[in-house]
Amino acid sequence: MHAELLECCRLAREQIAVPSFPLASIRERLERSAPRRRSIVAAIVAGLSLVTIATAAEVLHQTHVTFPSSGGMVFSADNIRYQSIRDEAEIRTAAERLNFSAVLPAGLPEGTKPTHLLLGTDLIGIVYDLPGEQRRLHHLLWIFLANPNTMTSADRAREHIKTGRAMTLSHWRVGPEEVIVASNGLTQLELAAIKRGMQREVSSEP
Amino acid sequence: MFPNELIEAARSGASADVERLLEVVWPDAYRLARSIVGQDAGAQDVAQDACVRVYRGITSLRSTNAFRTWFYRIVVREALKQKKARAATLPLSSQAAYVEDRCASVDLWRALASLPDGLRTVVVLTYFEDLSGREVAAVLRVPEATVRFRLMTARRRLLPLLCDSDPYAAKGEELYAR
Repeated sequence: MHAELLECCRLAREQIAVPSFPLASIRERLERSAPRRRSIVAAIVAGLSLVTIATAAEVLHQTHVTFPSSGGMVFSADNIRYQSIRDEAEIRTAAERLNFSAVLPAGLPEGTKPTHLLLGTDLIGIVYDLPGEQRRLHHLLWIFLANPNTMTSADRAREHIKTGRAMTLSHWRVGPEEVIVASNGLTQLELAAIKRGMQREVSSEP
Repeated sequence: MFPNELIEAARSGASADVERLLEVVWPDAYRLARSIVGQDAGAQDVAQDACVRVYRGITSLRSTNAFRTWFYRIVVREALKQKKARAATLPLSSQAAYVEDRCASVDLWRALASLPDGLRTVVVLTYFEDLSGREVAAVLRVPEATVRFRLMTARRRLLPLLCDSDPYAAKGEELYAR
């Protein structure tokens, strides 16, 4: 009986007509069911933990960027606009409105797409979507370009939008601006490539 | 059955390697899904979803040897998930009808369809996929003794449907129902 059942099942299995491998459909499903990415608002809340927002009106009329000794980054800016973008051209257009000559991010990992822009007059924050399945939840890259004049001491910063410890932060000065990079998805090599890329942009300028 | 070198290469996460592996395991995924779901269209969905899961998770696979169990577990879970979802949406008449589509071994499929999911999955993994009791237990994450018991009960319920009546079938059903 057992052998008969085994034989019967094997026969039935062989009779199942297998359709051809639907690679295109699998790729499409893969794309469609990408790990649920946190909405941009959630990402801001998670990545840049909102500590307090100033109520002092006079302070809000200026832009401040500080790096407190407790870690992270604190910034405030007036007339900040937040918008979604599709390509680099929109970043270039937005950068023209800044009151300093911005060196735009370069040397980013191939396939990185800009998605959102945080635009002030002394500060521009660009949100990128990093490519690669391996990054999963750490696919966001924030690059802030700030006017060096806005860099203040921690003591002067009264109003705070402060980066939490959720994101790895690095900052350096390139040409006429302060570059602040916040991401958990970037490798050291990729970060170094961005530094090199932006440095090249500065040196190639006439 | 599953080429180790392909699995090893796919674990690196390179798309081309993963897709090559998926192409090789596709027939197994489809047959297993078809055996559990009992319907061609449903099996396509299940097998494709399973492939997507393999695509996503292959880099976190701890060893090449674990692939077989892991892969079967994904397909079984996807298949049971779909069956459950469909049972909630399809009228009973439709559920009974799909077991007969395009299959020559109508009796076997009908008999299999009459089994509860727990028994049917054990039968499919054991007799269709040729997995050992230990492997089935690993796929379903149940003790080996449970697999043996389910298999015995399933056999007792299947055999009367396929051959002559079995006096022990009722006893097996009664035990499984507990």
